[in-house]
Amino acid sequence: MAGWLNWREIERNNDWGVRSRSDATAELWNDAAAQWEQRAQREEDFSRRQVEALNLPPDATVLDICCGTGPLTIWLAQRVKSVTAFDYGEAMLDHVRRKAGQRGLNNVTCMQGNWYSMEPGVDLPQADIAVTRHSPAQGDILKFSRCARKYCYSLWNCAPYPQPGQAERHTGRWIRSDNEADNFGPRPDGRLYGYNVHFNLLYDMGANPTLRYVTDTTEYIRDSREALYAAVTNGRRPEPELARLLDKRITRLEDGRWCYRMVSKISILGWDPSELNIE
Amino acid sequence: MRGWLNWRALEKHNVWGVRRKDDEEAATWSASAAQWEQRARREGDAARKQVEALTEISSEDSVLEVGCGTGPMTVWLARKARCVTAQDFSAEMLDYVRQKAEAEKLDNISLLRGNWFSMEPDVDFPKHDIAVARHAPCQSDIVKFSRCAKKYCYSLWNCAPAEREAYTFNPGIPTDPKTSPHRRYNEPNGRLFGYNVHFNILYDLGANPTLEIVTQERTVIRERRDEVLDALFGGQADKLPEPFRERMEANIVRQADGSFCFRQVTKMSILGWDPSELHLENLG
Repeated sequence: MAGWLNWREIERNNDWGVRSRSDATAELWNDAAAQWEQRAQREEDFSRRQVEALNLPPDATVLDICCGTGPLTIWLAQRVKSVTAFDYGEAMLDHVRRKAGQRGLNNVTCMQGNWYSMEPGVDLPQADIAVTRHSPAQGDILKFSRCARKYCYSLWNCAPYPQPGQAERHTGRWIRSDNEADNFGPRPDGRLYGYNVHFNLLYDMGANPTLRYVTDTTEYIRDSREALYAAVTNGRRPEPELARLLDKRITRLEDGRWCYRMVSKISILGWDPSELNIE
Repeated sequence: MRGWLNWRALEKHNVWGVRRKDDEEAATWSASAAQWEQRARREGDAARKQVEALTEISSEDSVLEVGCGTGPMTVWLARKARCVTAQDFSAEMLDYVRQKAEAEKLDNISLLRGNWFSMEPDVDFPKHDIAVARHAPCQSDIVKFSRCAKKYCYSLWNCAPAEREAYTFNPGIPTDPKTSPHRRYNEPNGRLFGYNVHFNILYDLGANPTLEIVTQERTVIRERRDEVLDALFGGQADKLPEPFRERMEANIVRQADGSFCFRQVTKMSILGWDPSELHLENLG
């Protein structure tokens, strides 16, 4: 691989690369399926617009890798021939099945497994298009590339937090170990280890990836600053660094209430896996 | 600037960074204005498709086109935007732009002549809403180029000529005065010093750049092998630099019916970004 840096090695240290690969850790995600579904409902329209930004031929088969409760799955299924929704969590997949049923989508198939112990094309069937958002597959983008015959999409949060000089090493609970006590601490710098790593890795392997973004704005309005913090951070008390960052964007309204306007941005990296010179 | 590498230092060695910045150098481009115009005509509808992909440009916007050459993109930009300022060093190149504007009855194109390297955005010319550059000297300093626009910037960069492998592993074209007297610089490896350098500079400064790829295909079929290159290069095939000619010839394929076929796929990357996202205080 001719390139300026060994991006594969850097990828091993990104937010997904450093996590535990055990079933017990994967189970921790599943435990929170109900909360993930709440978030999926809040962001339903945002997810719809993300799927709208993908080029999807109507006759394509799609593999939704680590689909969670299926926020993308239900929109994908309305646009393509069929979707295989793959995840470790049975509780997550239950939500996918329920939502597909409610919408009368009979082209969704659920598949359970641990991403790390499966091999695309062997025990994980390839599809025309592979899609993943915020998932363990982003710890190894080349393995993910092997899931698709025609095109790949990797969706990665790039706002609000990861901005240069702003809360790069945000602290919080993140599932990286089956020992829950280890799951609090600083995460890799979100900007240094962002979607730039995947762009460079794919570019160096010979692909010419496309990059698009979808933006969403949510306004939080509360009676006090503390209530606003709680609303934005799901009830947790923000670390001082995060609080400083939030304060910059909190405004006081004329009626005395407090307002935080959160702009979320998701990057959509797309590439043709056949362009990669894997040798 | 926080990031994995000092991409700004690498940019100084890209295909534009290694060139001289003076008027004498700029004049060598001007001398071949007629060939550039031929090349623009060979492109077919590539420029139209590229301008179509610049989706942030609206009919309200003023556009600055930096290093416009003979204006293959200018007329398409003028149809899309409120007005276009076409900048180039070469009076000869700008003459072609003027002729095209007149022929197409476009009255919203103004010409700006000058050496980019001695001009300062917002001083020697006003900032425009949008700045566009394709294959131009300003691509040796993408931050200076970013200062030309208030709303959005587009940098277009060739990312695949005829054959992908030769390009990907292009070790750089060395300058040998005996074999290529017209080349005065060692051309850097096109992949190492490609649009990836600009992506990383802009990303590290805080922008989230968009990337689109516009593909152009062209097929030429002739009875004889030598007719193919002549068709591609308007009868000037014998004047092509040897390494380039060899690469082109390697792609001519004899077909079952005995004719010779050349299929050329070119890819243009379009990097787009909002210059207000750049934290220039991080330049350091």
